[in-house]
Amino acid sequence: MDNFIRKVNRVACYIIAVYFIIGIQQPLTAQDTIPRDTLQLNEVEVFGKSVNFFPYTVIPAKTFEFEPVRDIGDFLRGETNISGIRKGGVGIDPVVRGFKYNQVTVLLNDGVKIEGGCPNRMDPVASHVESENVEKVEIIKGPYVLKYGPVLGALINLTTVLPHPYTKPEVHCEALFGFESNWNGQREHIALSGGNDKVFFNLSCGYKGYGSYTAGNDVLYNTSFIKSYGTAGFGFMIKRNHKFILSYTYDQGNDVGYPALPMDERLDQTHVASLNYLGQNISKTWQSVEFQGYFSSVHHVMDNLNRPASKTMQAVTTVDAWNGGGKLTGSLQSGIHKFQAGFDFEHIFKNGEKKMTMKMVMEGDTFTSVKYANVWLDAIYNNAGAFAEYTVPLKGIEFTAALRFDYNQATSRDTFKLVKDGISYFDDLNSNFFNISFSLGIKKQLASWLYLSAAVGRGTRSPSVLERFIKLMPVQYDSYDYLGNPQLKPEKNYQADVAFEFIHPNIGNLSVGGFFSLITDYIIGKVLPPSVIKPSTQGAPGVKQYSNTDLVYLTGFEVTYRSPTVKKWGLRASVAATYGIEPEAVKYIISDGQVVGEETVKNDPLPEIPPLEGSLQFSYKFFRGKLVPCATVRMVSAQNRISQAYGELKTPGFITAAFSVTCVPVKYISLVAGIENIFNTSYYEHLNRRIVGSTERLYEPGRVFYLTVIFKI
Amino acid sequence: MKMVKDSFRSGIAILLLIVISSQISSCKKDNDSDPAKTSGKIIFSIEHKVGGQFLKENELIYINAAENEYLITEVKYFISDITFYHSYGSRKVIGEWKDIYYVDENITETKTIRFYDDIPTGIYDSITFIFGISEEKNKSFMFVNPPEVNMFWPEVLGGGYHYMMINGKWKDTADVIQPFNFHLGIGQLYYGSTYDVDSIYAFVQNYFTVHLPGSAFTMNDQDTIEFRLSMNVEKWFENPHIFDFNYWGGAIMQNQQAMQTAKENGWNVFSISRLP
Repeated sequence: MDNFIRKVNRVACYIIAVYFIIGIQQPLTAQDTIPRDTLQLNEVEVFGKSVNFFPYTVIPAKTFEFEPVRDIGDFLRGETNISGIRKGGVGIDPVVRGFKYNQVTVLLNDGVKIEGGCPNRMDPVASHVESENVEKVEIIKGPYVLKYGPVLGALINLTTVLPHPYTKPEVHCEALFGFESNWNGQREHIALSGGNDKVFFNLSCGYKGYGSYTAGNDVLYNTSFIKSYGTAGFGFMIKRNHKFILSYTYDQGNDVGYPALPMDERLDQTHVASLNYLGQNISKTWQSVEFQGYFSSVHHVMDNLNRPASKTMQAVTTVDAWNGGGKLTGSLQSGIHKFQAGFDFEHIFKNGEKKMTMKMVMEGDTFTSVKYANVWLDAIYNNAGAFAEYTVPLKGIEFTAALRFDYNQATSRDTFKLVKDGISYFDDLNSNFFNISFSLGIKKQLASWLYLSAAVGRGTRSPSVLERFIKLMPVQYDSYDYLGNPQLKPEKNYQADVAFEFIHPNIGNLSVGGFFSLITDYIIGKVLPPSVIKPSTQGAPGVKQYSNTDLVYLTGFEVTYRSPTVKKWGLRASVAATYGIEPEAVKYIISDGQVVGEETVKNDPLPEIPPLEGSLQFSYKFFRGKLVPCATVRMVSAQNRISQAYGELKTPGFITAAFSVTCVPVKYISLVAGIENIFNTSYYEHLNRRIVGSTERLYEPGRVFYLTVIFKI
Repeated sequence: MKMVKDSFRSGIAILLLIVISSQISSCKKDNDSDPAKTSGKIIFSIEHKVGGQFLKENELIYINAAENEYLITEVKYFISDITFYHSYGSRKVIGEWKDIYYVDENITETKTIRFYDDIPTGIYDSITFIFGISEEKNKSFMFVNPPEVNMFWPEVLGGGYHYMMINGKWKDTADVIQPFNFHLGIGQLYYGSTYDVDSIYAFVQNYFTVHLPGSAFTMNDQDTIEFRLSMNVEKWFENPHIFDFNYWGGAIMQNQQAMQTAKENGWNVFSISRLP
């Protein structure tokens, strides 16, 4: 009987896998083509042939809901060739193949965008969304998918939990409680969803409260944070094929400590609202029409009131950032020809002010001086785009071509001007660009178990609001105050990817790929002399201004292996590295702490490139998957390829280990207990920022015991 | 047309991508220095003296022209807009990298200034600098890091930064050791006879230009010339006005008359000589 059930299960798994092959594996379009009321697919793992010609990863919620995820950026660091910039306990900014900040497009639900409020990127996009509300994460490396807005180096799409129809009236409830030692963190989440085939809804709320963590070096870092959030969604169907979904999310952060930044986050309030319409099977040729409109706002307050520096100078910065836009997409199919085209629009408004208060006791009297400076003053960024994608199988080769045009415009009401000795550093505030992006890709089955995919593309990214208009905030790794440059040119990435995939149902999935990227007009900071402008942030050694450098290169490889999910044992292994080079970089010669000259460094490694990294994960399913122990080892080599020009520091290599046990005692309850950093290794990632006012790096947390309980009905 | 041009450029870039990738492994790191042209470099080594001897802090061993016994605990100040006058009539104002220099007796690295600017070759007649910071440049909050930030001058008293702080103690007429803060900065003019900040009706810029006698030099190509710049501290108290702590008291930053006296004494406080 058991054997029979096992066989049935296996057959079911294969059927579901085939379903995934033709459905979910088509990136970001699953909900375009698959009615949401047919199957709930979260409970299976993906295995099968990928139809993508570009590096594509999908991470279903199942993968991370059992892990102690405090922050999506933190979780993403576990993926192949993805790193993160840590400045505190949360708000880790993802770096994909060496592409970072706005070079990585992070969006929600295929198009909703959030403009972070903090100039120091305390709140990158992913930090405004809690992992408990995420259904899946999709990662596309390279500038190949152009229908979600301009993409330079990578795209991360966070699909949040949205209401969906049910074939019969249903109501579901889900609750999660998690606790972590070391920083005594706890998270609580509760969600309700339900409806029928006409109307449907979802609601959720949650809380996360974490203290400061102690690293493996026994140093306590002020990384505490409080987060609270709530979501509400409502959807309805008009006829069978027309679905409308309204959703709203509120996310708030309080008292978030960032030891590697000059300030801490006092308050961060995020509102995200969206309206989605999906019409399917409109005619034989007209496959679908999709509309999405959204608005997001972030109110961000940060200060240095808990820092020693506040004794002499207090600084409080308040920023409001809005992002609104929409997208209209149509999909057509005629025979073997698939065509998708549409328009999108994005509008960003950003306003921020820094208040500095200097208190001095002089000759018995206390004097207080106050200065107000705008960080942004009504900065506006508009981007209108048109895109098209065509797919056709030709002689056994899946061929895809995509094209995108963008018109980008930005301005600001800044009164600040910086012109010295005839050189205009910050003057003309208006800029307009017409950008072209395109990609071409093929996927060829070389043998029954071997696939070749190749892609070339050009991605163009207009400078962000920060890069254009920021005024004297330490927004990068080097503690310098940064000054925007309204006349920056867009970055262009010319990239090529080649990958071989070995797929066998009994052996597993092995993928070997490499990429080469040439970026022209690369945006990077160049030092401005103190005689031109001085920093306004305590601890900043000087001022850098964003400027375009001629070109840089990024190249790297990724090798991943995953055993078949039908096996009791599970093995995942990966190794990846990225190398970045700036052919000509300017290095300043410093003597007695003073800049006395400059020289050109040839082939200087790009800063903030993570080192070679490998990981191994082994698991075994006892009692038909009801008890699954899992051990993970992560090995990271030293990063000695550091930028001389940008004064980077070397980072030693390290090995960490983790262990967890997942237990499903009854159908509705799952328990996960585990240990992170088992050996309490004292280490820091290469991209971790330095502690403010020192060269010491922010270390990663030491040993953490955790327990997560999930209840689903 | 721009589209076509962009596409053409894209094609070229992709071809380049292949070519460059084959070259990238053979690239070697190499440091290039800009070839020096007809110019040289200048270094200032700064020292503080009293009566021709190196300053000894925290020792009550000095007597000024008013016969006040005093000791010095701190000497710190700004000099800016250092200017080299060429014999042809042109001048070189230091400022390509930095234009305001902080000097502190207790911070060794501030007492050696290595100018970033290249000084063109030729014969120079003299050197001058501004003691303190000019009105145009002396803005509040322009320094946020120590040690410069500690020179902050309150906004209500004129803002910006102290030009100078010489702190110490003197023995008053009753032989009691009293602290003094011999500070220079933006002065204030008050209605009435009190120093209530609400009665300030005007500010006075007290920075001044220091001319350095005997500072002529010849700059040859690739030369590095080092000068010794000396502040003779006792001269702040003697010429043309005898500065008596018993008369002015220990705090002068809200006393424009006292600061004016100090400012007028500053004309010969500095001397310069060329080091071999």
